[in-house]
Amino acid sequence: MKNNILIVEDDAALAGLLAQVLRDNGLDVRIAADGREMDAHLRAAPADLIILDIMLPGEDGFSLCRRLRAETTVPIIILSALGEETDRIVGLEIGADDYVTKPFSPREVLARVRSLMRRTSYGVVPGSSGPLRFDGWRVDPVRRQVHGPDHARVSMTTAEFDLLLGFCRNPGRILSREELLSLTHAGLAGPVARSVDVHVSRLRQKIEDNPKDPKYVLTVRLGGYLFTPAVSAT
Amino acid sequence: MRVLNLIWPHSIRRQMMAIILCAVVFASLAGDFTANALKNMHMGPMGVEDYTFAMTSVARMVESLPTQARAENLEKWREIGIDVTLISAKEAIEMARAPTLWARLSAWLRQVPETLSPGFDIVQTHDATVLTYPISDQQVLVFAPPVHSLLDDGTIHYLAAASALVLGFSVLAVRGIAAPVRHMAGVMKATDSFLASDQPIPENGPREIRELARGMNDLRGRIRALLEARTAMLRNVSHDLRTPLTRLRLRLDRIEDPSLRNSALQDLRQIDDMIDTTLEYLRVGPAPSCFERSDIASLLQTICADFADTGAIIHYTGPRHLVAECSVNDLTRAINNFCENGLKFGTSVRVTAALQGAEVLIDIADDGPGIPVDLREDMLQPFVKMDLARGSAGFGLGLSIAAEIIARHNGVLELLQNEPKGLLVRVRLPQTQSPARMA
Repeated sequence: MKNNILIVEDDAALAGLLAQVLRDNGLDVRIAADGREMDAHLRAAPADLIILDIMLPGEDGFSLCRRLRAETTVPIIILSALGEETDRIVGLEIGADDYVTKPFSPREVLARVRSLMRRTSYGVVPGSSGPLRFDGWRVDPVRRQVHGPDHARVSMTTAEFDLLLGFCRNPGRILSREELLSLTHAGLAGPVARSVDVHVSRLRQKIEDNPKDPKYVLTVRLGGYLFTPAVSAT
Repeated sequence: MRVLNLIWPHSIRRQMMAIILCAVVFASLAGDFTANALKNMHMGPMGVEDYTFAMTSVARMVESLPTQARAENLEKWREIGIDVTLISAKEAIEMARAPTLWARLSAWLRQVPETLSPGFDIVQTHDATVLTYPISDQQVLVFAPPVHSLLDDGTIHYLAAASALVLGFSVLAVRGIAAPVRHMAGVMKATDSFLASDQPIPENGPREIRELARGMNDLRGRIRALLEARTAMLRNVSHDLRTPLTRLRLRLDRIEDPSLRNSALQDLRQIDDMIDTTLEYLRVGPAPSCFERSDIASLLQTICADFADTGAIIHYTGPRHLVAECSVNDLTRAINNFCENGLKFGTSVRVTAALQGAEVLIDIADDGPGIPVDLREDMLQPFVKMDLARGSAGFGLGLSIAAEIIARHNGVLELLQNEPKGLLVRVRLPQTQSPARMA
């Protein structure tokens, strides 16, 4: 497994601590304090994943992200101290793959790094971030918004959204509970780890006409779940 | 038009001067006209001095005539407007007996001149005041007192000028001054929307009012710039705090003792929450929200699910779909806050929603101690906490942010008593918002 990670963060102590956490978990880490150092590191050897702080001296994280995206498909996780939605959306729209808000726990960063590397190793093309549609529903992966057939926005928990997005990206395919779990960051959120079934049941409450007799998300005995509608990307 | 524009009085001072000038001109014209008209109608009253002089002359002349010719002579005087009669001395004594109250009052009102020629007397009869002049032991001349009417020339001039002034000023006051000032006050009353709006106060009316409007518009710009600078500064401070906080967070994970680590993590989470709320409070600021059609039921279910996943006892009951126009993020924040408070002070929270006419009714009920009636209003103010000893977490901004959000949705927030115990937060939102603010 490729495990060469580049942290771009101007606070040396923070970068060092984060690097320590990742190294303890078997990852190979380099640190850059700004955009120029990042370029120098990348010239020396390519990185498999970049953790990018937004507030940097000189060229800021957004600009670096845009520049990187123009050249490579390297997975990018953005670190931001502003947990605001607009920031996250800007980051994801210009091509970042994930987003972590300070202060983060080591476990959270590690989980996101691993999840992202796993997804890349599956060959999921990064940047397929346009809205998806099925049966009048619209799912926007960047804004993390779902709109129903009557154009009203439907709110969802993080896990519900991740599940729905996972279903939309794999229509007509039976997804096992393990696969669904890996598609989501579920389990990171709180002390109570819900099973995939609980999240699916909640999702059905919101998108199915009759949650007791679902037509979108079907339970496959001994298999997992099947998403039946045709999904189009526009 | 350019000439008119040049001579048109643009300032209040000039408008006032123009009105006074117009009033004086009007008064002198109108006064002259009416006085002439009155004089033409009948002889009109003479001046008091003239009348006194005339009375004296008449009295002297009649006195010089032989007794038989006197009555006849008086006719002539009456024809030219001097009301004079001749009575016997006995009748004069009879006449002066017991004036009525009305006679006294009218005597006072008509102001019989105090300076009388020698020989004249003022006599109060039972229904009038008259002037008497005894011309012999037997006969007494009786004059009606000079007509000192309220409607003499001076009074007419005065009335005409005053009414012209009052009329002119009220037109100026209503049209020129009061209307723009009232409009300005109306705009300023809604301070938040005034600060947030880009619509300038219209600069019309007299020059002073226009300058005031311009000043207000400038002031708004400056207040907004000041607020934005403060907000930016505070945001930067809050933002910069996050980097050392992250270092601390990463270091805490290296603490071996689990109980120490957990309590340290809890402190850290509290600091982070406070930074969050501060940023939130600054963000909500005076900026208007963007509304979109949204399923409120799914919003409430999501909030309840998120709390339930942290182990809290919280339930949603209500319709599965309930579409209304709202700002999803803001409303989520507000409801989240109510639920968080409910779970902090109580053990379980019940969220219900219903559509009542054109209003969405959301109840968040807990089983905590509730809030005493007299403290409920205060709780919605920023930095107010109910119990300093207990509520150690947070700044006391949560409820005021939530209240602000509900107000921005043109909704109503009520803190009520939950039965059998606890607090019932009732939110009433219009199902549709004015189209201007839709996303």
